[in-house]
Amino acid sequence: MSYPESKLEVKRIASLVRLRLSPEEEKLFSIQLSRIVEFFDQLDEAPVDGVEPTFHPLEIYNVFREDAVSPYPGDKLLNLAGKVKDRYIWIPRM
Amino acid sequence: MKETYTLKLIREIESGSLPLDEYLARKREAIEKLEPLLNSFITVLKGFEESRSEKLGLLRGLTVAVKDNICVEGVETTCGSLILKGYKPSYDATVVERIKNCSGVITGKANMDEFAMGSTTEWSAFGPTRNPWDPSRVPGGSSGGSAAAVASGESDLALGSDTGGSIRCPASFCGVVGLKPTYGLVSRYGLIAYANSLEQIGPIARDVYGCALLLTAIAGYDPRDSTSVKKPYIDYRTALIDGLEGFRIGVIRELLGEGVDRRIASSIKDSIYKLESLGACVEEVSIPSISFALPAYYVIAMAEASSNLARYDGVRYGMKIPVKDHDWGKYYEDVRSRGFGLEVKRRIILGAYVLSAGYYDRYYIKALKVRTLIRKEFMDAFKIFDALIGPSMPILPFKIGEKIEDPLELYMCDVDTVPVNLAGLPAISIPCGLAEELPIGLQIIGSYFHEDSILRIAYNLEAALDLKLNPRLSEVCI
Repeated sequence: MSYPESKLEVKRIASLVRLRLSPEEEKLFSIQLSRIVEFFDQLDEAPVDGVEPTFHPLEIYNVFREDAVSPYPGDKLLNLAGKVKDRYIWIPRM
Repeated sequence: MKETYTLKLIREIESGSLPLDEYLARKREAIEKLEPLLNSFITVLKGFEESRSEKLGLLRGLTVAVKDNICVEGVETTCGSLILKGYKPSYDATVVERIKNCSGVITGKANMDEFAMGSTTEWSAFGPTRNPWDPSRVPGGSSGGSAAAVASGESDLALGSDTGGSIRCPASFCGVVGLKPTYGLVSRYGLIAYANSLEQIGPIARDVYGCALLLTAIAGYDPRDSTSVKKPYIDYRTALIDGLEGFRIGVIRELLGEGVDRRIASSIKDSIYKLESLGACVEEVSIPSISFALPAYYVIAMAEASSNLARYDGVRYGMKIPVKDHDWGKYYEDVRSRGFGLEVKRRIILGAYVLSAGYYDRYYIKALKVRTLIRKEFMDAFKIFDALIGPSMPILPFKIGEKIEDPLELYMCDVDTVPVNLAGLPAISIPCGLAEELPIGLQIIGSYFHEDSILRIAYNLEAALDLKLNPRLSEVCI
């Protein structure tokens, strides 16, 4: 099945994932991404009726750890944000 | 035990015939001379020579290059992306902590495709890494900087990460040994996520001994990674035993069919004869669903990437730019559009597409069902075989720029490596021959947590082949 350029709606999806594409990127992607989606269509041939999906390679369930406080230097993390005041990140006015 | 490069080095350091200071100074010199030609590193650590510990642990002061998507406290960690430029993690990844505790000396942060999305290291925002065998060619990717650093002798050991072949591909292209561990064997705490359900950190070294050594240092349960698995401690060097009598090895038919360079196929066949001469029983095996592995892999990897990379908003860390018009929606778009490169944008958009209403079942869930089939077929094969083999890459290292314009053609290069990540199995790539003075890699795949088996096979094959691997750009040639 082929996907006409309009069907993939590159610009609309880009805006949903907070990307603004240049006109050149938009043109390039509408051709390239449609071809890649066509490649994904090969999955239609896979004999998967009645097969359960595997979300994760290992069967690990309900991993818990002790409910104990482990100290972490929060200041170090906050400082990565640049301007900090009283343990809050200082951001420009919205 | 055969004295390969890493073991010889360790013995020289232990005996004092190679003083550690002299060794580290030599490594600094190699990096200074080779970096302008190779660009293996994004950051070289200032004064790494002084970071050696007084008491020598398992790694004996050997140098380790760390892929730039693995956090080292206080050292810029960019993931090969402008969006993380200037980001200095406030903590060490568990693997880094373990390397430091084993007295490994971290030399720097190795170059990589942006967010590990690529097979050539050309997608780094900090310029491509070059292949030490031929600097006009790619080193493979995405851990291309790690593999090039080891092949050239800039570093003796390196950490890579493997989401769809990102350790095995560059190991193959650079003529070194690279191991992708079983999912859950090595902690991912401090590995900046691309596709969590597929990726693992693993060792790259000049020889199988080096890989076993570094794996011993980094493997093991970590409560900070809820997907890491509790297993008893293993010194993987003890797996390096002579002889392969009684080993049953399957050659994966689908990996040696159409599209494989005939020189690579011929080299793999020569290795099969060697394995038989070492006592192994080698037979053909079929994993039919491998034919769907590539589209399934890319659907899953892109879906996970689009979700993981949503965190880059230019507020809490990384790239920051002035906010205009008090519009935060616009700000996020500005930061992400400037900070991410082309391939990352492609994958985020496609990932969002395959997860969107109407396409979720058609692509994402179907890909996860293919994953079930592949996993089952591998598990069936491991009821008969101790290990499976095939080429690591279907083609030889190609020229820089040759495939970069066509993303789909680049994705096709991963055809031999992605099945292992879908199943979560361990696999090692070792050099098995040369064609036109370029290395060829053989891939050995093991059952879950059977790293010891694939290391033993690799170790015996390495000794039997006894290849003379001399890349054009290396510390001995400068």
